[in-house]
Amino acid sequence: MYKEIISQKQAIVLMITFIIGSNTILVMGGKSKQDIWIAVIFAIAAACVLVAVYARIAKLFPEKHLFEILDILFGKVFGRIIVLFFAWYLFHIGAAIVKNISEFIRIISLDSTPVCIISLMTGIVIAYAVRSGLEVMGRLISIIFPIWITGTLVLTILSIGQYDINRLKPVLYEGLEPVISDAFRLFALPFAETVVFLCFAGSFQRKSSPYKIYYYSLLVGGFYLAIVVARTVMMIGADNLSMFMYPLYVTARLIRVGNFLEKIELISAVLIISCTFTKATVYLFSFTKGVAYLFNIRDYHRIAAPSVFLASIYSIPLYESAIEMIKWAQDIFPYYSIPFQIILPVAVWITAEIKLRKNKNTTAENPQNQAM
Amino acid sequence: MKETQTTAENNVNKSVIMLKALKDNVKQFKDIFQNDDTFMIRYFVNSYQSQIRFCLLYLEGMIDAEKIYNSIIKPLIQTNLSENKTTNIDTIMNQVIISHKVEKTQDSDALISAIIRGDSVLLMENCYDALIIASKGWKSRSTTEPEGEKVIRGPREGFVEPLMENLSMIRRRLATPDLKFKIMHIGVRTKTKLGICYIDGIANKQILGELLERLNKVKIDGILLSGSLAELIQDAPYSPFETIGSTEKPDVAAANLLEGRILVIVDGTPHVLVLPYLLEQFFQSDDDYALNFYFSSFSRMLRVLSFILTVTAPAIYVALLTYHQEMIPTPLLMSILAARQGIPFPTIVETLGLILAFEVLRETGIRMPVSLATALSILGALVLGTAAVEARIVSATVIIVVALTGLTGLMTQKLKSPVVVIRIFLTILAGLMGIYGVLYGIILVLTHLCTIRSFGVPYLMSYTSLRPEDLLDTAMRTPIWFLKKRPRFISSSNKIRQANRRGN
Repeated sequence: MYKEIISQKQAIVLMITFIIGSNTILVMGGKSKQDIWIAVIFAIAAACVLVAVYARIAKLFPEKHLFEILDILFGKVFGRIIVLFFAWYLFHIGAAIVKNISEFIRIISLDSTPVCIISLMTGIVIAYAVRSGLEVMGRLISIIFPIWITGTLVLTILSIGQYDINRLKPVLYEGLEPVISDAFRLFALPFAETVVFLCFAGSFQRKSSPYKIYYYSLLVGGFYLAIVVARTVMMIGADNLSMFMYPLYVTARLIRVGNFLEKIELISAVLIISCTFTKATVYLFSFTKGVAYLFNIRDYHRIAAPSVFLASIYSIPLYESAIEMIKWAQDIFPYYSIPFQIILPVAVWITAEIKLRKNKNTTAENPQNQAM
Repeated sequence: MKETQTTAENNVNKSVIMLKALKDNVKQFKDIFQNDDTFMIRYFVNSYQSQIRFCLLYLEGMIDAEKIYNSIIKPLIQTNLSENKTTNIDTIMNQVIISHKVEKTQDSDALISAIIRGDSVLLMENCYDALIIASKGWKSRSTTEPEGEKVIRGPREGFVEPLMENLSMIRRRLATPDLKFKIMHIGVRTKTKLGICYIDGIANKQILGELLERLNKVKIDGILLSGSLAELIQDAPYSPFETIGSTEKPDVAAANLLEGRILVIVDGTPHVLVLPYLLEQFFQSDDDYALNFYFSSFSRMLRVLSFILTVTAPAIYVALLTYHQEMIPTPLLMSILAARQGIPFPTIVETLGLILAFEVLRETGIRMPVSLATALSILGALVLGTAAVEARIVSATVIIVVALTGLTGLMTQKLKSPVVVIRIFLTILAGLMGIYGVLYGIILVLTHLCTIRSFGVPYLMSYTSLRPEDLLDTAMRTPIWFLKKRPRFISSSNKIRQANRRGN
């Protein structure tokens, strides 16, 4: 089959958008209040360690995706069981993000539209993107990303009048404990979520370095998040942060330039959705690949539509309300994803290192044997 | 499938088997061209040796009578053939006939198609061979400035219908032996002549091979327009976007050749096909390279912007007015609502209806004789515009939006077909889901654009590669000395097109 390849730059851009993705909806309102930007930085620091494992796995198995790696390391049967669980995780989170998008749209403007319509429409768009394949996603994100960057920069600059640095004070008033608990939450969502990229790390361009992709995106995306969080706190204060459901969206509403440019929150909403859309696409793309692998379907494009629609339908009854969803994302998701984000990659990494070392030893010994 | 085979074999069964006797040969040709009154048979003999009989076959109207008289009949009659004893067809060909192109053959297909194309066939008594002598002659229109690609500063020459004249226009601009022309015929009945034109060493061999393969696969009775050939061989056949471009200007064609693209010239159409063709080329004009680069960049951005506007303006209007009225500044909203007072239709119906009305006006304007233009403008502007607003059937704001849409749409004429489709698609989505529908629609269209390729080259290559050097000649036009490299993938190994900055 034709092998899909995305360039290093496209992979970086995809990962940055992925990292920024959901957090524009879900990041706010933690225990650490005005210190949340410090929590983001802590989370980046912690993620730097874990991401090294991800990148190492990608480096050890060039041109192989996670499912194949599991097969190689743990055998056909056990490997497939792990793939099954991992595919469930991808499916679940993918559906949750679809739910995110549709709830966001429903709450901020289309309040009388049934949420299932919005979910299905979202599903159609994602299904088309997934069906078109990874290369197309890479190209698509290369167009969206510059527009997105320009948009956010403009919004940031326009809101410059509203910043009040005093809202960031006092720094670390309640000590490090709440900051660390928030950092743990932010570590799981979004930074450790980059484990998903292992599902198609085999499609990274051959000469590209997984380390570069992972670290570059982690740092750029992470520091962007820290700035966004700090900006939001400076604009509306820590107390309001936990009051609003979508603080980032609210900050755009505050922007006023003269009497002319106001109420531009819709632009912000469009930016947020296009970002989150990318994240959902990445998840559901990986899910589709996982399903294709499980059922030995050579061409994953064919099952893109059914599997994405399944996710978008599953998303409808997934949560009763947006508040429940945000609670779940903040309190349960970090623990729920430990096996997939930490245990599985570390296990893969350790087994791979041991196996490879063994192989190296045997291959190193073999020529000697032959010589003797 | 079966039908195409029968058409393909249809005119193969008629053929000529060249015999010795002149009479028999002529009879065979007569049978083939029976019921065709323009088919002319002219017998004559040499004035010195009356036993050498000749017969000249041609189609009236396709030949230049002057040429036949001066270069064939006159020398054949007047030359003293009795001087050399062994008069055969070779001596006739080499010593008597005064023509730049003479061919000796027995091949029936060649002979028949030569007659059809306006050459004449000379038969001789006691001879198995026949001579095909060039005698084509017909009037073609003189070259004019193409209506579709007007320029302020640049050559005014445009392609014409005959293939060979078009080839000569290109050749005059590129004086290099590397410029290659490959002639082939397509269409079982029309046998339309195609010229495939490329510069050896710059054009990508893989793309050329792919093109030839696709052309060979075309089995059709006739190709009359280059546009219909493009539809048969282009990628993404179901897409509204065209992946093969066309130009009417020889200088644009030459510039495309220099970038490594390949031209397909179809005899009878002044529109030359350019491939691979990418989206950014729809926004380029050859004026851009003649005028100051600030100005060209500005007008290019204007073109891109108007493309975006013409596609999204009605959709955004519908979305804002139906779902997000809070987004519109209050004074503006007040005046829009005042204009909408008493309008019986919802915004989406109003907008779609007016878009349709505008498309009807545009279509009429193209197909209509010029003398009716006044009637059209009265009907369009007065009846559809003013009267509809005054009768409170549509609001004035919608007319403004649709007028803006139409005006910006005229700026990118070549993208007309995708524009119309996407505009209506987005407007309907806006009616369903507001601005989010528009966003989803745009993502769908962008995804579609990302999937398209033109002969293996991604349609949006320059925009999606994230390489700054690919953007130098897209939405902006940087100074010419910046454009050091030919576009990637399109050209083969020879990538550098100019020396260092301004020749230093």
